[in-house]
Amino acid sequence: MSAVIEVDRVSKRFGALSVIDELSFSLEQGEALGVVGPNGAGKTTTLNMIAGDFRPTTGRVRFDGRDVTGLPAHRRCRIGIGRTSQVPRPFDGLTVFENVLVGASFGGAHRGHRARDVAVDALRRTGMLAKANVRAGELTLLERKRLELSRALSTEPKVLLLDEIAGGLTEGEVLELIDTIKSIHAAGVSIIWIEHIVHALLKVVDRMLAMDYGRKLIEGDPHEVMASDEVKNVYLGTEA
Amino acid sequence: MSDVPAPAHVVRATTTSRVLGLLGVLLVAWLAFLAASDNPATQTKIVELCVFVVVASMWNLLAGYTGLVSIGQQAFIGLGAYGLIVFGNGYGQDVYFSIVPAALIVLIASVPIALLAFRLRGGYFAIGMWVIAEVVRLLVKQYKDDPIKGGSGTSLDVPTDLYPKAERFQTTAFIALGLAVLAVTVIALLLRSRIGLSLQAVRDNEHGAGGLGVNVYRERFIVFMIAALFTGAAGAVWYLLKIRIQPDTAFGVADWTAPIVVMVVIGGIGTIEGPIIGAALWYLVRDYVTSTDSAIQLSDEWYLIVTGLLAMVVALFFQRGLWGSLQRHFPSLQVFPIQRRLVVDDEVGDHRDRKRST
Repeated sequence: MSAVIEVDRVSKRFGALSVIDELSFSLEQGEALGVVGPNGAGKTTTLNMIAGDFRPTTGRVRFDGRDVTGLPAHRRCRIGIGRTSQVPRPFDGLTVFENVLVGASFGGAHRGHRARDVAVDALRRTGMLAKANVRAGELTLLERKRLELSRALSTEPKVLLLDEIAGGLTEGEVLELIDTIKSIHAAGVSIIWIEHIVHALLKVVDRMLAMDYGRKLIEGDPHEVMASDEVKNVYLGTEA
Repeated sequence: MSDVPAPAHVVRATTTSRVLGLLGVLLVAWLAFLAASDNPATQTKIVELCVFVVVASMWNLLAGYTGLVSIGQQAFIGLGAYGLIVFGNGYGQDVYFSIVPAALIVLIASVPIALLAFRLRGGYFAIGMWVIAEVVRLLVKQYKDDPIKGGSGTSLDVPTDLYPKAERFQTTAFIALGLAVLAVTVIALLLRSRIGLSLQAVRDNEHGAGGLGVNVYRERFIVFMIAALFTGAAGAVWYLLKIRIQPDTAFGVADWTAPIVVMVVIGGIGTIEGPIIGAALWYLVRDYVTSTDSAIQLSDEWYLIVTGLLAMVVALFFQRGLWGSLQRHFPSLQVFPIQRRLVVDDEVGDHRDRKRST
């Protein structure tokens, strides 16, 4: 077992506000880790620090044993950290294919035919190939979420960070998305998935991490974590 | 990646783009024919139009594609213009050739300017660029010796035995037209390329582009330098025609960046065609309202005020401008084949296009 992502005593403060407080956890090679916690627990902030959107106030982030704390987001993407954003960030003026081609050309560092093939493959795996020539600005919510996933895949990530990719979708759409994510995981991609839709997480992840107030509450077997007093307390407000 | 993708290829040009492209070539040929005529008034108009096509296209490349809204492009105009003076008057070089070193000087000057201005974001960058342009203007005014001659300005040395007036107007018109064609071609090729794809991504969502591996800072830096190079060359060409130069107009925001913004916003920001259409309209309408026999009479100042208000209306209610609004209704409308259309062969079965695959 070797850790592909290591979050090592990371803290993040915005002025006087402490968002993440001495958080440590790791993601093993080939593993899928679910992250749950109430709004404001610091889940997205944690993902942003792994992806390089901003740097931790203290602590280190390591990828494949290499310290990447100082690397900007585009460099982390190129070495294999792919991410989707909670609010999709499509390039509205470009077509779906061109959106994905950006990831293949820059994150994946491919050129010409190879970039095209990687982009087509990412579209195929997320069921977006039929929409290839549609402008991203004209997509529905499910399609925008799928595009977000396609784009992340086109960078050929070793680690995929998913931020509430199932949020806002119908039950049927969530099930479709679960199948897609399962097949990505089965192909060997390690995943960290933040999600409020717990049953979706339980179908995919190997391990669960629960967070509250920027700290680790409990981590372990997904079902045990969800059944634990700590998580029940946070979600239902009952006394432990 | 596990699956083997089905054969697919990418198609760039469309029938519309071929037809419109041919019309564009004819338009350039017509302008070249006009430039060759012996009419200094027509040649002046061609130079003015072409210079503004260059600077408006370059401003649009910055603002419309990389989100760098600069209101200090007159810094590069002025530096290019004074570069022409320094090499022409100061070093006694051929005035036409002097455009080249003048533009290169501006290119070099753009590096420290970018390093400074890129520390600022959004509106602060816009104002910062203006401040930089003002500082350069004040510095030039302090240099009272030859060949700059401080704030009172100077004139480009074009003795008529070396540069007969009719010939100078004609040559300048051809240079201006050539520069405009070159600038638009460079922009079209750039946007068609791999870098262009990332520029369009940055235009639509900067953070999204960074998250997909695009080095936004580097792309912006490259574009900033290209824009400076061409804007500087355009400034030099302008004063090849005007001869008389003063720092307050060469570095004047109301002389340059204000009309540029108006042209690009009305024509359509974030498109290649928009600035060209905007500049052409701006000149055509201005010609009409300043001519003595038109129904509406406007001074240059009033013209800028009225078009400025019009640009505000467009920016508020038709954000894509003329060309962008047209494209919304006719999505296949493009003169320059930038877009990539994916054709998956086994699913579409359109094998005739295969010879055009990239």
